[in-house]
Amino acid sequence: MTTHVENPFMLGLDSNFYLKDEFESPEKRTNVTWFYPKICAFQDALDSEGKKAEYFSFLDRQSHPEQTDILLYFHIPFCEAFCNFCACFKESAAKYQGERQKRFVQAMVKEIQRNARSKYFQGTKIKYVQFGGGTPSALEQESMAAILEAVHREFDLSEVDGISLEGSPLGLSKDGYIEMLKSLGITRISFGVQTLDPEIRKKLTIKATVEQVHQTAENIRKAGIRTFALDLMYNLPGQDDEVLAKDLAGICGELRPSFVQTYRFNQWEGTRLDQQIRAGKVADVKPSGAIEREQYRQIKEGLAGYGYDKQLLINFFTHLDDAGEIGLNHACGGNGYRASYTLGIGPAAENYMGERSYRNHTDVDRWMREVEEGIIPIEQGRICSEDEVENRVMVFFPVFGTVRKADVANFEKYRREVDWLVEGGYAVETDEDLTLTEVGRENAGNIAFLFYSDEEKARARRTMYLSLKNKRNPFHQDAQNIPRTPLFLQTRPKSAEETAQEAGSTKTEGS
Amino acid sequence: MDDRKTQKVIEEDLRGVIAQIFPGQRVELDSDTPLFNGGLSLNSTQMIELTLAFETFYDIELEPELLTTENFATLGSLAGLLEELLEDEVSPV
Repeated sequence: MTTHVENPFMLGLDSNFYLKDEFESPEKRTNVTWFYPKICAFQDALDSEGKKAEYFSFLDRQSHPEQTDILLYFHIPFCEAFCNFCACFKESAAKYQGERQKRFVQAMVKEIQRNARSKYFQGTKIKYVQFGGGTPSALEQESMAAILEAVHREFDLSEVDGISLEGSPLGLSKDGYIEMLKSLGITRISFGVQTLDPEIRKKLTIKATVEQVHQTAENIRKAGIRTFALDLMYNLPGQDDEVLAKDLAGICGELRPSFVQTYRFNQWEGTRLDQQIRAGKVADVKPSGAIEREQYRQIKEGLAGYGYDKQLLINFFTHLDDAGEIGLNHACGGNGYRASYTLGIGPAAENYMGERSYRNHTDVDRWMREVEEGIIPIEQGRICSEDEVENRVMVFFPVFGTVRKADVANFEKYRREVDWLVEGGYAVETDEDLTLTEVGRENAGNIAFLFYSDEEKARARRTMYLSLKNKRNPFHQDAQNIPRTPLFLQTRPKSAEETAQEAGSTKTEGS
Repeated sequence: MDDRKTQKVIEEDLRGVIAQIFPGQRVELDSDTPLFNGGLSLNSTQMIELTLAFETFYDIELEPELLTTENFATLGSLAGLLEELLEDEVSPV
């Protein structure tokens, strides 16, 4: 059993580091990049109707340049219960019941129509549809059915690879829910197991029981949904190697999903769990950067042992010989990989349209109001530089583990980075492609940062600075449901004057 | 009287600020201690937290453009940057 080394100052779980030098001693594995170039509410605010009109004039003036490579993403921000480690944007499902939920669904349908009927999307064929959140299955059956029907009605899905939905056993276990999804074309369902250890689940405030997890997996199978995926987390507080081995046995051996998606625990600042850990309220074993890499290796080995030896994406494993229509570009839930276009609908949904990167309002009520009033419900957007657009392929390549040189507009532009990766044993280069080695895959997140433009790195630091200064979530700048007051602001730092005064009074008392 | 702070004094100030905002840290902070890997092991969020804390301490505002690897490389380099900024603050127009 591993001895968990605790570093109470820095848990080694940095998520967003933008310094190339960091890679020189990769003691920390960073998260892979899922969206690039990033946008920022403070730097990219579309705060006037004039700006918005100009920014979105392309919708009604241009035709889509690539008619078949569109990912349609729906963000349903509601959750029946909040897990204490989650930093995603979310709203309480209980607040949006009855008439409020009806209003939300009507706004979703209107947003679907506005986009589908614009000149830009006329004649386009959707490649993949993904429902994420939040928890899409937190919507009532009739609400979800109304949205799915609108998607089928308004968009051309004749060449769609699949329609995927993230859920939770709480919603999916309701009578008839999975059957309704199947009848409306859902081909893949995923939900987060995270761990099967009841004590850790309790600590993480995961409301669904282990029994509900088993029942939901069984129901998905019975309903004949083509594939299903389960999430497994590692390096959770209290999840030592033995617990992780049991999680692997339970998920791979008993639940036996088509795909396992692995996620390392991130101690996102400001989450309830983060505050508990920092306050010393999480007993016994804490998550640690020192064991994180070791557990990643344990997971890969364990998955292979259960037949999940095909790594489709960096965190996406299957036992299937033929993953079927789960295209690599969209297998992990569709976040604008490679050159694909993402149309995001719903509060907080992100969009990527060629050089345009934009994001819908995170405030659900504001998003609904603007949709109802015929206003484009976007709060931030930017036109990315040619350099940033070009870099996307290389920034995302670690997610796939390989890139064909033919897919890179100017491969030699990255010669210095490529040589460094090859010399370091992180990648192998042939005439046709660049492929990560095992150790390269292990450091995929760090490698992605090598390909960020200097402009993007500087922007990211500004985003972090402006977010924390304004007490907002540094990743999405939303202010909802994630207490985002940095630790030091909870105990305000002292000015030099106050420090001096304090020192003086201590001296007087002591003398 | 010369109000200017020397780099050594600023380094001492920074040690105090760091001790206040990261009370759990146990790294001995010399002038050449890296603030990132191999030293204080700051992550990107903590780098900004430190920035906001010394902004409050000195009652200054840092241009976000100055949040560079070079400026935050070591305690000494950060103190050097602050020395320049504080000098600008007290210089007569």
